[in-house]
Amino acid sequence: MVGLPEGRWWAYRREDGGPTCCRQMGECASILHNQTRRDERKMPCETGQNAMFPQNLRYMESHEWARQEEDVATVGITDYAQAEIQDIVYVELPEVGTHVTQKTEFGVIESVKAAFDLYAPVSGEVIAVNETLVDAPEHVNTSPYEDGWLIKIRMDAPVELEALLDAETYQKQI
Amino acid sequence: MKRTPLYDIHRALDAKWTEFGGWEMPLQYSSIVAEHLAVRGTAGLFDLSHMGEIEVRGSGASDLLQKLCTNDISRLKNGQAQYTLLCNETGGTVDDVLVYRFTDTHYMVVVNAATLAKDVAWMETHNDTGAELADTSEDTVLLALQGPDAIEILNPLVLDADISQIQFFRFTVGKIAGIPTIISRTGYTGEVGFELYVNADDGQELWHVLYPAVMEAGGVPVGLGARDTLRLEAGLRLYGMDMDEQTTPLEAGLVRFVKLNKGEFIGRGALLAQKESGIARRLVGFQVRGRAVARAGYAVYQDGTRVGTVTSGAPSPSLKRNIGFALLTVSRDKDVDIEIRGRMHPAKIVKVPFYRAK
Repeated sequence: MVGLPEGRWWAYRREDGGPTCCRQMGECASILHNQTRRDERKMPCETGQNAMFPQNLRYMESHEWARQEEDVATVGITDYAQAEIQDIVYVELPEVGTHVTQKTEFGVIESVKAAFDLYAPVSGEVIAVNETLVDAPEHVNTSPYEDGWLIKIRMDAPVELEALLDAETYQKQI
Repeated sequence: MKRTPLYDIHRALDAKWTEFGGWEMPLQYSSIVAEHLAVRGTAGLFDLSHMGEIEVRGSGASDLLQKLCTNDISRLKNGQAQYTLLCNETGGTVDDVLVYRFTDTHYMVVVNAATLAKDVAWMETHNDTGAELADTSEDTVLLALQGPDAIEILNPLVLDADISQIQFFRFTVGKIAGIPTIISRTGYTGEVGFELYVNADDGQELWHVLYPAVMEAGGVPVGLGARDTLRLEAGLRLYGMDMDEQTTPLEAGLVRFVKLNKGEFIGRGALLAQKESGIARRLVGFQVRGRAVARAGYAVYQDGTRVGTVTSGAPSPSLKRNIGFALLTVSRDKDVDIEIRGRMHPAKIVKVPFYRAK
């Protein structure tokens, strides 16, 4: 027979006494019995709101972002999308030179659980793809706006960006 | 959708949800990969109360089960559990179940959630031995504690038994912190672990007993997402995906659970005939050579000819490879191509389990 460790709350439980709530013992690690910790977790992070969705990007309802540098748009998925998808294991991107069309599929992100289509925020020619994602697709999770960028598009018509959402509008619709 | 008695606990833990077999179940609490690796490295705690339990009692119990099951129920001793298939007359698989023997007049059959009603009806239809059948699913909470540290975590909580002495596929009835529990050394992860059956009224309390112990040991709560990747790596079939009423256990590679010489049972004639005439389709394990993920339903080709379909597929968090099962009409000696979004991706046929516990 293995002896009980001393001072543990379950050791005090009487065999015949019915439930002894661990809350009474004040040592429970269960999150359900730890309202303070739970509420803290749920509290919205006020300073984090804008950091999650940079103001200088344009957004799609399908959770892609575009960052304009002259006639080139760098494309990725938002912090919200990566958090929802989680555990990204594979990113399938078009080859350089491919022409993509605004609001049509240009690639796929795979998580452990499912595959998610990627939609082009603008039309144009793919001039670069993020090759580091071949070996490190998790960059999309860890750094969705920097290391986890997906493709760069030389835009046919930069005016297309105006049809996309600004950070505030995007944030409201998620 | 149905909810388990632990629904509020999962909500408090901020679970993400999924529908499974008519139940609203936790998909994940943190991330599928993190939960998966925790079970491989330390321990994970699962709520599996969606599973069904059917008690079979009386002097006709053994005979009824021997007739329904492909495995040999007569080999079971008291305190022993057995994996078996239920087949229909054509050898198709009605369900895969665990049969627990308490005594020769008291068994418990643990069935899949989505098939519970079908299984109860199936057992009632064929009950000509006077066995008493009772669906106790609603009264039962099933938690699983799986992982290399499971014994160490559970043993201090059990005063009336040394659970380290429970052999694989054996069970005992003991008390976990005073809660009467069927403590079964079984699981669906490929790891050491226990499946713990308690009265539904004690379910929440059992969780509150186990959860702090698991967390303190470095383990985590685990949802159905990681349960699926764990079972896949361990080479364990999922009913409804890898086999169904159109698939026989011989095709599903479960021949060691089919005892054709044990005497008559439902489906025996068809299985015998299939064995003699040759098994045309087989469930095989594959590993994609590239990085694309092959998922259930994807078409499988060999030399340009369609030879089957992926039945389960996922990235393996432990192996960092994309693995799965496919039901194929061809030999297993050659590579296949899996069509993923219109493109062919080579995959090799590999032995299962894909992963063995260290």
